[in-house]
Amino acid sequence: MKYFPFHINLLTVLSLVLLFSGCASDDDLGFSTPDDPDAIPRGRNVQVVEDEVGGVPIVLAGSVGRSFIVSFRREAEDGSLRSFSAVQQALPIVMEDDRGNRYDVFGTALEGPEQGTRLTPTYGMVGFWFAVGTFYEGVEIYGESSVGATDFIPEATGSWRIPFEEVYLITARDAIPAIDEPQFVSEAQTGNTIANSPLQDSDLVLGVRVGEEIHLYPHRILDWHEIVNDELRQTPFSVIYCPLTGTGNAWLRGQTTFGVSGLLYNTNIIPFDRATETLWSQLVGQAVFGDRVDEIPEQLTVAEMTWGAWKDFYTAPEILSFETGFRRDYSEYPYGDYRTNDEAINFPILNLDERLPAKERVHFVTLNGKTKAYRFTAF
Amino acid sequence: MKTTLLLIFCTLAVHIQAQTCSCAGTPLTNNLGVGAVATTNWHVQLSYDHHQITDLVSGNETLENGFTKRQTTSTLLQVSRRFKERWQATLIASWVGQEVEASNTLSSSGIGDMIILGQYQFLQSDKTNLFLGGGLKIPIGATQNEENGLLLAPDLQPGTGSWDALGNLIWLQNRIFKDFLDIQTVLTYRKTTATERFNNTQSYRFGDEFLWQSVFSQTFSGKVGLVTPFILTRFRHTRPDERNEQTAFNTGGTWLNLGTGLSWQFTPTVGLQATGMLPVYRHLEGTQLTSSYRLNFALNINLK
Repeated sequence: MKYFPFHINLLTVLSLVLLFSGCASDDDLGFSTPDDPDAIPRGRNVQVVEDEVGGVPIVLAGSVGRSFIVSFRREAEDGSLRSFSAVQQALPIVMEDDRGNRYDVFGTALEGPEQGTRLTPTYGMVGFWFAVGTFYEGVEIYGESSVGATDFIPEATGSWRIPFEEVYLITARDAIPAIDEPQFVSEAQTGNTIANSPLQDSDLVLGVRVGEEIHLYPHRILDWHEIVNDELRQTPFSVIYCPLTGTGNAWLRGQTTFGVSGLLYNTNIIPFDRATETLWSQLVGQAVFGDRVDEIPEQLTVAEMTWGAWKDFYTAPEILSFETGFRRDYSEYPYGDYRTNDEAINFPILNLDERLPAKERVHFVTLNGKTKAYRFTAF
Repeated sequence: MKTTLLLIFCTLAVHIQAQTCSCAGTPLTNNLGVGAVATTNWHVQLSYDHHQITDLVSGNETLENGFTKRQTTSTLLQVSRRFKERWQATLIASWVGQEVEASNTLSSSGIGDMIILGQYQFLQSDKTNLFLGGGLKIPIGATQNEENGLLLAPDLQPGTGSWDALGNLIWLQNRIFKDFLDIQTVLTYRKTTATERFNNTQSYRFGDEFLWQSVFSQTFSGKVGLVTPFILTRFRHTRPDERNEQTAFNTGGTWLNLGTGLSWQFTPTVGLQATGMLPVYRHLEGTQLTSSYRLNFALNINLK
């Protein structure tokens, strides 16, 4: 059964907007001294949660004030199960395991006896709650006992791996142009183009790390282009962002590039690779039609937080330039009040889970067929 | 002469144009400058309309758009019948073709919506004529066209699926300056209703529309018949669309177009007309693909 929402919980939405913007502590970007941890602004503390999804022990680190949640498997490379605790005032380090290894938001051990090793990511994402409730059956919410609906996803059709009748053709391929030759800038550069850009400290920004290099991608640009075909340390990858579901990830692309196909499944983006024109579903996480059907792309760890938070974590991080080669007004969000209007879901979805407001941003993890959502209020 | 001149104004008054909605290109009859005015018993017009929709505009700023092109081509058949000197009925049928091109091309064509219109001439004189009309847009147009088995988006369908109510006022003022300059003004208001989209999972309502069109012309008589060059101004305002009773962003706006053309009535029965139009001002809600230019070619036939 497909739903369109008709309920507004305005007070909840406004409250969550305030939480996401870090308004609780946005006047004070400083940190307390080691002797006074209580002076750390509320909401900017890092919190660590150990949990289990699909029988797999995981750890999550997050901060509601900085708008990030990241998740990793607790099992280390040597097979041991680690315990974690939050680390304050040591950015970019956010957590430490019981062997003294200290990790950043990408799960890389920056200090400790196993420096350089990486935790196995869960490839969880942040997105709108309604997207989680319509893509995954039996969704649990951390800290709650309820379980979401099941048996609402129809069988795949023909040579497709998703129900064909739920795929909608919205526009032509590349009508939303991907960025194929991204340029990056940092505040350390002369001319300070970032200061002259529309970028605000409260803007959400996706980050991808390959080796020692990090590239950042502002939502302000991703909202208009949805896909960035990039390369770091000779590793080609694509950043895929769907403004309609609020979900962003990154996967390896090999020698091809990805574009926006103009198709939607469950209101989520369906990219296509230009080499074979195979169609891929971002939230199903595989190729769903074409020569490469059933292929599962190798993903990269993605972290998402505010631009102000990224600057706290890293000195002069490199961020996608607003000089994209396209003339767009990146100071404007192209979808009106979509991000905060719970009733605005523009295309059909399979299931509306009303346990949370539709546009609340949550971090969700899917392992062994089970999905759990984590609210920012838990951090 | 008077009859012939009024006939030409009738021709100019009938100008049905395709809608340019927020997503550009839904069927023809939603963007109306309709004012069917016949002086003979029967008036038939067959016209071809080409609407290029390539400009990407945010507010009143034109953005670079090297990626997406849209066009709508329409063939219209309009038949008007005069009754009892002051009454008139008009029926307009359409065939609509839609196309959007980026790195591939999506296209769709079929029967568009239909209009029926009734008009009453409540002021009739040598210099001034006034008509009041009302009617319906009937959603007989195709709304389920597919591409490779996939249902095309609503703005790529020939039909809208919605019933609309229309009202218009036509004012013809002849020979403004002695025997020079005629002005025809048409005011049209369209009240829309909602339709179901995406296999009846979404309610969609196009925004109500107001249209003001004025045509300034002068007729010249000669051996080849009557030749009438004209200048056309067109003001259009639409309210934003609604999706599930929520405002659909990137829809609605205000446009001012300027056009010119030529009408050639080579016999009292048969005439040709060509019109071209360009946008001169627009202020759109959000960012939209919108009209770059428009061409219209018409054949007019008047029968007793």
